[in-house]
Amino acid sequence: METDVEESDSFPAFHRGAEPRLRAALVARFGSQTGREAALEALVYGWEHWQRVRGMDNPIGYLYRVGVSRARRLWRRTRVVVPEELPFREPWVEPELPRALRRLSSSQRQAVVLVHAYGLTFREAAGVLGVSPSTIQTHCTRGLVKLRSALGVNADA
Amino acid sequence: MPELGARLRDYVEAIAPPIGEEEIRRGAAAPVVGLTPPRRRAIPGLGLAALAATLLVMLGLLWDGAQPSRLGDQIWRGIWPQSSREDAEHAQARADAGDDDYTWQAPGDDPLGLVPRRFVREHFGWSDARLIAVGSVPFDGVPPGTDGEDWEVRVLQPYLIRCGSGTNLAYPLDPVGGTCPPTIDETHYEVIRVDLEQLVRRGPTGIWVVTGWADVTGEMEGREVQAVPPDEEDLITLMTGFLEARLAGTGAEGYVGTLTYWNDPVELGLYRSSSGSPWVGYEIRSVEGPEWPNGTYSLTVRLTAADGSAVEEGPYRAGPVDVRLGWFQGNLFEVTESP
Repeated sequence: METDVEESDSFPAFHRGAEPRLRAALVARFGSQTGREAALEALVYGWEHWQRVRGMDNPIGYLYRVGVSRARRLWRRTRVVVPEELPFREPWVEPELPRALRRLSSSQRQAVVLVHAYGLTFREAAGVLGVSPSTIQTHCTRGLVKLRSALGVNADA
Repeated sequence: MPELGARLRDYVEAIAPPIGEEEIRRGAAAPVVGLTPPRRRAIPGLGLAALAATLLVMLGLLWDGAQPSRLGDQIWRGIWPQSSREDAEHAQARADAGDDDYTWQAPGDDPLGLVPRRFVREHFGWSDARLIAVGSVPFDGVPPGTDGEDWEVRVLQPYLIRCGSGTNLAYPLDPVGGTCPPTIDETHYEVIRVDLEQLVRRGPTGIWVVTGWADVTGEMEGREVQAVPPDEEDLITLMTGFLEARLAGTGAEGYVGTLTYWNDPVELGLYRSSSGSPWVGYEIRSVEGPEWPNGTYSLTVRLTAADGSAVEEGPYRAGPVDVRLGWFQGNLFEVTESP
């Protein structure tokens, strides 16, 4: 009899939680092209080595390091972190957003994207990036100030 | 208007769409021919994207890494070329003053260049080396006065392979690997990981010193391996078979893997030109490669149609995996009208 029950430590279950975090962290740091490619390679690595990766204390953090290592090799090809234009335009993405994101440091961009766009806690974001929660908090605070200033929005937005 | 977090998330999702499980499976590797048999791993699924496989060969993901990794083990710790932190502070002052005996340790935004190469030359007698990977240990906290940008790394860890002398006979024309033959056997290199730190000052004017190294030979999961390139004669035979099938009007489909321009699939007029005229002639215009270390060739071809029109296609790319599977891949692949 076939079953649809999925084990909690299966790769598909891990993929669902880890993929957005890895992709967001690497894209915020290395840009859409290199970052996504690096995230893909990190996930492929995770899949290929799942028996080993599944037993790690922080598999997302480990695969993030794998992605960073891959991205540094890919990085020489392109340095466009935040594209000028979207590949396709959505009405709710204001033109100022890419420009405002470019003004953030890569650390600030990663922290803001992980915490405010993807809803991670400071501790969760710290686990992905391999830094302390207080570092994430600092980057978030500074990044949000810059971002809101550039976009002309108040602190409630 | 959605709140800022949602707008940010929508933006990231727009510029970098989610990576599905199927894409990950496609990115997994297919078997490689010609590499050292005892370390080969059998991977099922010959129908996987060979372009990704070629990339993975380069990135070294084909190997089990059967031995436990020792990447975290420090074999040696110390400071080089200075011998103490006090010496490093003195060297920093001399570099700041423009003393050429020390300015090479402060190479601005290229810390992976001269310092590690000079270290392996003076410490191990390696006359030549190539950088194959870079790891890092993050700075836990915000480095003072740097705003985090680019300098959040505490330790940079370049991985260098040792180049033997003379020409790399498997890749004689490659600008990077052509003068870097392996030193263990025909495919394997020795590898050293070097730890670089800025002990005195962080940033582009700070000097870098070596604070440790480790011999990681055999532990790089294939990144220290150069593939055995396909035989060029086999490659040309494969391409000729493909082009002959296109002229014959049947059987060409199996020769083509994934052809894309960036992420957009490229539709090929396999048997006819865009105006519907059948192909009647072909020419292999160029064959470049093999590219080190993955052994990939790039080819361009010209096809002539019965109505006199012609196109150029390429680059078709094929590495050892592709030639074994009997197909070509192509990214940045273009079809252009040819006069």
